[in-house]
Amino acid sequence: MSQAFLIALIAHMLFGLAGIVAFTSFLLLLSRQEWNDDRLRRYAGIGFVALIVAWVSGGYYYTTYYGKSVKPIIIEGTYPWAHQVIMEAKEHAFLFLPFLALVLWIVAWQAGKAFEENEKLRKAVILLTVVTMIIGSAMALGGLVISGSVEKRSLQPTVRSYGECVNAGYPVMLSYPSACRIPDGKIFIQPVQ
Amino acid sequence: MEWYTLLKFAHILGTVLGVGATTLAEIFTIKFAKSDDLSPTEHYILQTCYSVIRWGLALLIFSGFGYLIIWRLNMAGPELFFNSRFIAKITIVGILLFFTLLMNLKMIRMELGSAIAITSWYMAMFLGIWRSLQWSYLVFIAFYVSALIVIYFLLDYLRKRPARERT
Repeated sequence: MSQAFLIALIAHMLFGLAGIVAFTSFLLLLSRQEWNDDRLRRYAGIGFVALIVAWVSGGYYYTTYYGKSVKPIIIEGTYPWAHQVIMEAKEHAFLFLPFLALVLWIVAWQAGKAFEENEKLRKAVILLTVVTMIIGSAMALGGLVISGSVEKRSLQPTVRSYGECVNAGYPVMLSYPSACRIPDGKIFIQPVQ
Repeated sequence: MEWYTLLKFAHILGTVLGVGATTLAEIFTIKFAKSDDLSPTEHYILQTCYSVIRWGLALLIFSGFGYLIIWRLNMAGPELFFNSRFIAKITIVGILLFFTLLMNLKMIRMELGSAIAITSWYMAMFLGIWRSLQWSYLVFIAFYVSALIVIYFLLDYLRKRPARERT
């Protein structure tokens, strides 16, 4: 994995988590009877920016690296459903998050004192925040399952014969008949004509 | 310092703060239950404990995510990610977060919330320390639920005890 993909993956995970934490703080503040408008705006702003960074970095990683390098490993591994079900669902549900976060930020920015006077508005925003947090948490859990399905052994080329072992670049022993050994200790003997 | 060492330090520190402050908060709550109302000092002490718990929780979660990133980059795979002890730990931390949120939103009784908090913190620590333990997921959860029931009634007894002594 190149440095850019590495940074994109780490940013996706950390900023996604930061977004959820920011909106949790937003929800707690909003649910109190005495709240601070500036802090509400700040938390919603941090949440929105964090989810945008998670969205862009995750999107970049997904479109340029995941499909050709990670997806085949998962599909050939023990848990192919991690891609077929979870990633397929995640890539669609994931699209909602920045827009929900943007709505919350705009409302936090515009409403201000209106939250104190309009109980209906406050409850609607609380509900929208809870929905955003549920989707965000589901994304994090999905990411956990997908990450767990990436198996190291799947990266090794499938070797079934001496020829395939040599072609894969594994060490060949100086013996007669010659033998080739793969990392798990299995030895393939060169067929003698 | 290596990333892994730094994360381990943060994870242990988070657990120490969380378990310690939750225990102290519970001890103080039981002690303060002797009087009907909390004095400003008692209120301040409990708020300080809750603040330490929040910092511990934040450290625990961010360092836990750091671990996940390192595992993912090393392609640790199902052996670590789908291990029954790890899934049980994630479930228990999830329950802790969910009920902490409900407690903050005043949507559950404090007695139940604090029993869940203290059981979850100790269980998460227990699972983190006892790495060789290889029970099935359901056994871990059954153990957790049993411990929760015992702790709930134990705390309830300890809280009511001074009231009974007064009468």
